[in-house]
Amino acid sequence: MFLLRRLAFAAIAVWVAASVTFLLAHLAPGGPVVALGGEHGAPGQLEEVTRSYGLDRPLPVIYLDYISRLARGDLGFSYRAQLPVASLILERMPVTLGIMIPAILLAGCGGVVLGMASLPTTTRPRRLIGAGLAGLHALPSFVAAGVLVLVFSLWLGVLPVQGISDPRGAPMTPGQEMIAWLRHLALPVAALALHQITFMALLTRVRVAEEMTRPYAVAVRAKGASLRRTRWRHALPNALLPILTLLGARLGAFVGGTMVIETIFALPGIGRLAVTSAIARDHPTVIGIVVVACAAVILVNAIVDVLAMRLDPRIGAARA
Amino acid sequence: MRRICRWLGLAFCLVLGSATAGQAQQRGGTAVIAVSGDPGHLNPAISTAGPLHAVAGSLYNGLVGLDRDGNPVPDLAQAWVLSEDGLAATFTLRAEMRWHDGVKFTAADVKFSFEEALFRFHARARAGLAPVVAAIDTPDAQTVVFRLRRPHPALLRQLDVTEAPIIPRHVHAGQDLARSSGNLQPVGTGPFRFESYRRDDQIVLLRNAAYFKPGLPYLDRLVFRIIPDANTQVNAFLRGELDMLARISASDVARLANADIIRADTRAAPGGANCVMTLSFNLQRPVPGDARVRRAFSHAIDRAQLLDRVAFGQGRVAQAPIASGIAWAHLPESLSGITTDIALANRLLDEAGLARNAEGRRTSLDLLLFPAFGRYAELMRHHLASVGIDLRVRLLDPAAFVQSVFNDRDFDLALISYCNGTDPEIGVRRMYHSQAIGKVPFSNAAGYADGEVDRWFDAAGSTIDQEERARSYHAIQRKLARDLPYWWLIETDFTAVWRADLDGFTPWSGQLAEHAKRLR
Amino acid sequence: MNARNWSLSSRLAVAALLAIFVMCSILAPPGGLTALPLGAPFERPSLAHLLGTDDLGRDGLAALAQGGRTSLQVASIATLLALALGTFVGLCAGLGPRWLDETLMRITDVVASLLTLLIAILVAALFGGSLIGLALVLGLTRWPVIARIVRVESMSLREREFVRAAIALGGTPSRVAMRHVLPQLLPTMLSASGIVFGGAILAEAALAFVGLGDPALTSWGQLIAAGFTFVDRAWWSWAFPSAAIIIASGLVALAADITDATP
Repeated sequence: MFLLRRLAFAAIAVWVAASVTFLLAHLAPGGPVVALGGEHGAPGQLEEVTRSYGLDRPLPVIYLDYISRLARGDLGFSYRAQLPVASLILERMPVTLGIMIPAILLAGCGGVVLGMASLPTTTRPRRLIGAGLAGLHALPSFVAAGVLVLVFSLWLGVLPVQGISDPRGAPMTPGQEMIAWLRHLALPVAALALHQITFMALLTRVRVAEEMTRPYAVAVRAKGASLRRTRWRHALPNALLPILTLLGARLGAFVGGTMVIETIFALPGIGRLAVTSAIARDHPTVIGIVVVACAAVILVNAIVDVLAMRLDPRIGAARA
Repeated sequence: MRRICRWLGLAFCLVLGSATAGQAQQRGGTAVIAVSGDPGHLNPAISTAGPLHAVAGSLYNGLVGLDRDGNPVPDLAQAWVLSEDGLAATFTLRAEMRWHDGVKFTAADVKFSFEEALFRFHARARAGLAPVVAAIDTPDAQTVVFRLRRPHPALLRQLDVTEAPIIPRHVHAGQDLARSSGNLQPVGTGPFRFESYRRDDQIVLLRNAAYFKPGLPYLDRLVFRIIPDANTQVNAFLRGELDMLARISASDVARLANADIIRADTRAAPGGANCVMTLSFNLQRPVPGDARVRRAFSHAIDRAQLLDRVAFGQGRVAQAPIASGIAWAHLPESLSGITTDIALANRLLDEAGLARNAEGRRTSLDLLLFPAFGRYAELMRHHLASVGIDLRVRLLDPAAFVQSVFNDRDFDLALISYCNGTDPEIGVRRMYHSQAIGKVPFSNAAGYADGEVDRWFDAAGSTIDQEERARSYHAIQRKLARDLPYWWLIETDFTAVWRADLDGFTPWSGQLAEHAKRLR
Repeated sequence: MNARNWSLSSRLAVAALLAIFVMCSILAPPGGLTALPLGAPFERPSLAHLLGTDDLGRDGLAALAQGGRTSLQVASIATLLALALGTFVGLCAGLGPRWLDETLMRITDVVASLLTLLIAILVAALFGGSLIGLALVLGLTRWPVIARIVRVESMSLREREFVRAAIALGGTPSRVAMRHVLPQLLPTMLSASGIVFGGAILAEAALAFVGLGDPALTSWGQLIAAGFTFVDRAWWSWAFPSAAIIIASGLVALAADITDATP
């Protein structure tokens, strides 16, 4: 039952996202013709766009047509690239997922561990970790990326500066290819995850500290368990699920982050496509990316919520 | 004695062997070249964009090639003859040339390329060559005859791979060239053939083993990596991830001072030659249309500072409307009377009726330009702010820019890098001739129309006598210096760098890797 | 996030932020950066130019102040908008009847699922890179963060005696909300708006860095992007704006008390 409601809600959210892009496209100077055709007016092209999208019909009709096209998976046509937007996005999916998924995992695991490590104790270093985390959290991703490149690529020379592969293309075994792929993605993943690791760490810190004030934690401590044991074995597991669901909510931040990271590291991913398309006024592509990304994030969140609900019914009760 | 002979013989063989082994080592290898923008497609006959020509130039040829000084050498055509009256140019094509897909190359391909592609879509061919060519005849498969309306002195210089690349008829015929399948799966005659194009990532070209120039090319593979960020390009080069930077700013070259590199400074690049950064006024608008305002601009903008701080000395301040690279036509003192004089600029603007308001501002003007030229606009904003003009900078990508400036003519000022070419007929005429006002991209942006100037251009374009032509061009430049339809800022040079273990690059042409090889 | 008393470090941080804002406004040249005369390019930090000069010869301190004004203005507008919307929705949801709460929370969840940065890119593409557009996008997509926090807070405040007393004495809901609940919410609102403010600064910087900002206005992100071009030749042109962003968002984090983990 919860599953159905959650999915229905997800569908509505996607519909709202699509409607927002539709609204923006129609409010823009130049109107929907420009938004759907991009500003690459070969003579007669604007007329063609008007015809094929039926933009001379009344607004509600256009809207319904737009939504039904999206539902069918037709994301429009990029006149700049001369390709359907859907295929442009699919082309780049592997690269973007290749940095996003490791970054999410890193942020989740690393963030929790760091957060736990930074909980106040009597020893001074732990407090400094907390302060350090706050400082790193304030670092913009492009500055972090620049510093990482400076240190690891130029000074230490161990990791490559850009791209996803070595173009000299000496034939490699699958194992070597794997390693090359990892080496190329190491810095982008680190730069992308940095902001989120610190967020997760700070969040973990706060949540676990809260859990420690709960009666059961106090009781365990009173029974003689060490501070460390109480935190890790009792407080953390209870705090973990809400923390991880919040990670799901932060997915949008990862997507936004890929925009900058892929540009700096010259990776052919979706974030970079969004930026170059925006600069080139290739609006259909940008709209397609916005809709797809919103839909993906909504879907993942829905799945995470359902799983979390299965694992801990309290969550379902709180959100219902 | 015998023993000595034997040893000598052995030594000789060793020397010879190592020499040929050295020669053999010169073959092969991959060169990784960085370009700043994604070409979008790979058909250089329908566009003059720099990144596109830098990549696609290696896939095609022109009827002739141009050496570093701009003199024609045989390429697709092995010989050519100009008729007595200068109205017919006959080109004899090499025999046995094939396209990358094996189809034989014929004169029909040349005719198709000009009539269907170049004269319709290529900015400079359309503006500079099309009006002159009355017809193209192909009496047989090896011969192309250009029938001209008048003797055209610059003809040969407009037939290289940058100005007139030849594309295959059998691939593109019958298709809308802007969308042709051959744009993304290019078939050419060039030293390299197409392997793959991953958008925003890289383009890979492979050696054309059947290239019609025997022995060429030396390299096995060319990989063009698309890296928009200049900083990343330099970092990657320093780390050895790149072999060549097709275009590098003078400021970044300083960072490579310690590296083992070869550097080439040229006035020509794959996109064009003798390029001048030019401020175009829209003469049809009241404020830029006022000659006093234009003169004020010429006194307000500190061009030496632009050269120094934006171009880092990579070029020279424009001394005349025609670039100094075309020495015989260039008139050195034509702009020398115009110096940076803020007080004079202010007076001129007062005279023009643009009074300052309470905040000291006279008026606001729109300046349109490519994002790559942003720094020029930033500095000019400062210059013009000191005389009370507020520049509203609008960065537009090439397609949007062309739309606003040449189609809609919706601009006050535009910053354009006008490449003059190796002869004024190529890239100068289209800036000033009244016939060139229209929707052709990068034509007469100012909308300048002067009967005298038109006649001088026509005269200069119809004779082969260089002295006579020079006289016409000098007269034109003197008139332009008075009318100021544009303000010519800086002649820009180009610098390319590559690792010292490679050589033979010719970065002034689109065919930049035909002779490139690894030295060790 | 629970209500916290306005801790000392939090208050100091807010004061510091205000001080920065004021200083930026004072130091930024009236009439824009173009009103200042150009110095020699690439000058190291010195007495004449405290933060050096950039590649065009513009004074680093003036550029930083101008950029700060822009960045902080955008962040402020966005935060105020998010605060207004979020507080209104959160109060209604927290204090109102259950059906209202449910409906508003659904709406909140839907808006929360919109990806801010991508929509900002779309707006930059369609409308040109205007900062007002960015502020609107940020404000209109980030208010759910504040709404959720305000809602939880007001729900717990609702049970407190003084509120019940006010209702029992016949106060209308809106009056109760405004005069009794809202003042108690201020620390929470501050904390929540801090999250939005910090995110807005970084979002603006990211957009400017990739070239989708407003070319007419200087901002910290733009300065960093331009400074990276001369990364080793003029470290001051990127180091100072970077430090500025780090300090500003660090102060915001402090003000929002997100590091406080006292058990």
